[in-house]
Amino acid sequence: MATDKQKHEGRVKIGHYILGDTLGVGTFGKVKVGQHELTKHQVAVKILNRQKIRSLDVVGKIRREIQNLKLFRHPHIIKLYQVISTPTDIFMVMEYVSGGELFDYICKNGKLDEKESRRLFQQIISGVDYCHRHMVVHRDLKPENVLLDANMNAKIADFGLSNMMSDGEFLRTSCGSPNYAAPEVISGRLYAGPEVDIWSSGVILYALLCGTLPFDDDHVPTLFKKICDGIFFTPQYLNPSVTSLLKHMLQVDPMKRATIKEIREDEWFKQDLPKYLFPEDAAYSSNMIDEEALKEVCEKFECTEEEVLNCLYSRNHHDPLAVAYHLIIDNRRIMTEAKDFYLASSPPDSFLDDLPAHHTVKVHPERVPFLMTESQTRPRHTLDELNPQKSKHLGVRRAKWHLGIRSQSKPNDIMSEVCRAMKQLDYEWKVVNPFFLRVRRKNPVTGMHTKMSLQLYQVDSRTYLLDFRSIDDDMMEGKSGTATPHRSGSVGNYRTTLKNDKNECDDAVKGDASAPSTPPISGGKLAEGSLASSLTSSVDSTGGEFLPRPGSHTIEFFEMCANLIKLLAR
Amino acid sequence: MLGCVNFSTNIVPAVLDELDGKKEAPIEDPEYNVYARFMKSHRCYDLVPTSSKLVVFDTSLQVKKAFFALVSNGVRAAPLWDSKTQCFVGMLTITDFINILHRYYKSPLVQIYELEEHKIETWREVYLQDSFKPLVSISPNASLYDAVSSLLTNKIHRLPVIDPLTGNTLYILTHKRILKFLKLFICEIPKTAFLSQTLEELNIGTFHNIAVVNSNTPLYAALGIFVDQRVSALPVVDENGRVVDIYSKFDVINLAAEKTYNNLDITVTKALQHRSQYFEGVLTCRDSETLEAIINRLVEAEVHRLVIVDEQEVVKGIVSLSDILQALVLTNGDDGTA
Repeated sequence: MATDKQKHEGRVKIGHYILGDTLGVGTFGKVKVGQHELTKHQVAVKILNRQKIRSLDVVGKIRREIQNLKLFRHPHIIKLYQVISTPTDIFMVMEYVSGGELFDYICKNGKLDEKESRRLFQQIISGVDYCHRHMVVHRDLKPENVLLDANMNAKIADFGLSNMMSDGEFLRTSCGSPNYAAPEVISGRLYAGPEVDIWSSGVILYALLCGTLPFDDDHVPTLFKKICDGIFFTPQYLNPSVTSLLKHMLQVDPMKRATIKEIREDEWFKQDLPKYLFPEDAAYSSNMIDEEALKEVCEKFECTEEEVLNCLYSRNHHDPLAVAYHLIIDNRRIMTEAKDFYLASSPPDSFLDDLPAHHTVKVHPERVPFLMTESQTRPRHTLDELNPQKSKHLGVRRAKWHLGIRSQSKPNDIMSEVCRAMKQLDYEWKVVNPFFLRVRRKNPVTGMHTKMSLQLYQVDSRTYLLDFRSIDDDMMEGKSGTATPHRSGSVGNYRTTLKNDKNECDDAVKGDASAPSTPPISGGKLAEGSLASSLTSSVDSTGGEFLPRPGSHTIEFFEMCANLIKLLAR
Repeated sequence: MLGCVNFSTNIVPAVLDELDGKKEAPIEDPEYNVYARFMKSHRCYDLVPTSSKLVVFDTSLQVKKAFFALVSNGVRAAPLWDSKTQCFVGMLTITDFINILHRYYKSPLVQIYELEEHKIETWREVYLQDSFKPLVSISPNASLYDAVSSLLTNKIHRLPVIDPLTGNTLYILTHKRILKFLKLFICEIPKTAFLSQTLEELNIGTFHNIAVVNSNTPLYAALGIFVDQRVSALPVVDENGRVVDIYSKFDVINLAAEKTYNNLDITVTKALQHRSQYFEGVLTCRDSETLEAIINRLVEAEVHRLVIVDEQEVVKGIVSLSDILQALVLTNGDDGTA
């Protein structure tokens, strides 16, 4: 095993850091304090057990995501200095702050005064905004994840980490501390977009001002109901203008919830707002390509300039290359504007050596590419040639697929149209909220119910997307009890790869939708890859044989969607 | 690397007969059964990729569109879903394309009506007559040994892995995938003397009645050989019997890709022109090479078979993935019924 972990005079060493006491145990594993063996520089080392990470593929997507987290530079976000990976664990070497958790601070000192609350809240929103602009959603924001430095400044920890978790894992963990979870999160929807963080920030603001939680109950079902009703007690002493901000942020309907932009325009929020928190957005308005940043991306990601430019020109903002490009520009800007603030805690250069290569990891056959044989036939003629309206549209990049309907009608009109069509098709449905329905259809042949959910998302100011999502809770009954796994029709499923037969039961995480970081509003890339790929689904690997189920869950779901789409398209 | 990638349906019964009782593996030998044991200790699930593309056709889809869809998606087979009975009823492969062309082709001047108009279900009714058999599939929990047995005994090349829990098709298992998997782990298996023996010593492969074509053979005649003899590839030989090229079933799908299926009077050579830029020559071997060398070459080249030639490059036989799996898993000291 190639690992940097070695026993050193009875102590464990990670890279150049000697590990010390455990600072805490988080969602992902332990966090220990580390001290550089020469400089005594202190860091926090988060130890992620690979089994908790949704994929063992550290070479590809995850690695790029972590690479990007390393580029994140914000005065109120815990910096990630280095990532060391071993076959069993991933060690994240991060900025260490001495003030502890905001949660503990509130518990110890009670509520903060309005001015101090606002100061911390502004810092938090600034950090959240920064990450959202770089296409990273926290999803697990809570006072435990907001740390304080020696000067009582907020530092958000764990940004970007929830995206690495399998969704099943995420739901399980968020069920452990649901007080901060947005209604759509606890009701099991997996599109945890930026609006989820807004809700959580609202809960944090409430906690700062009141010293208690807006939604709290020892009885979890009651707590869930309170969250979903979105009704909370507002103490007399609260400034009415902050009450209205809280109400706006704690809107049950994600579409009505405040956006960062709206928060920034809020009168209460704007008071005493330090300028550095929201610097002028020069880099975004400029259309000029920054050559230096471009070169840096190519170097860091070992790609060609063309690849980066393609991403930028095609406005593929979620592509890791585009994200990296914008981060580098941003970093440079912050570098000049808020220099001393974060440079002080940056690590000496010697630690910035690269990730150790993860050799000795056996190549799993799943990684074997069969693409060569496919590409032989691929580029010749495609179906799109049969469809002249479409073929023009296809450039070098793959077409984006989504299973759903785009519409520019009014949201209420779309939904009533959908309901009319479903009635005609004899579907039954339950209104969870006006834009989120749970639908079922009794299969006349197999007699079984096929279930799906429909959610209307806003793509841009005029366009809405109705997303179809398969629900397969039937097959999950008795398996976990907590999480209702949803399987998106539009996105393929992930599961962990398996190495050892004996561990399979534990390892075989129920795969699920892979676009948890996709923001419902602002038109994320809802689904890439072909519709067909989504037929891949996870396998129960407990070894027990079941009587084969009649029909096919996925195909029945597709049929259900197709019938509805056909009817709506008329 | 690019080579020709083919698939085959030939398992020659003669090979089975000749191998029976040929290998005398003593029971106490630790090498005994080692590949069969390996296959029994791994499940089909272990071979299913984390993510892969699967294309499913509704049987009410037109056959022509289905073949185009195979091409445009870069897949070679697709499970067929019958929405009336709400179940998977079969597979659509390039063999179906060949059968349709061969059965209905008249002349370059006549459009093949059946190809243009038939739906998949129409074709299946015509082709299968009343011999509808349930789809051969396998559970992800079944062993690889079961998968190999199923591939060989049913003489199929595409085995859908269907999850009993959801009824979903997860993957389509092939000989190629299984042999590749075996090769990846072969370093962990005690190396047997078996691997160091030559093809000739082991008598693996087909050496009699090898179907070949020459460069002037009309394409239609080549398709006829695919249909009648159920082979997956035809070595193209010159007047001295030396191999100069190979035409495989997989190459036929190019007719769909290029929409040139209306003229099957062209020669095999002409039909093979499309791949001239990347074709790296026919992959051959000698019967004096070891089984290990053959496996390595097959897996690396990702082809389904090697043409066995002599010093003069004259075709002597064919060794296919089916032959190898048969020999390794079902024959090597195993009675195949365990």
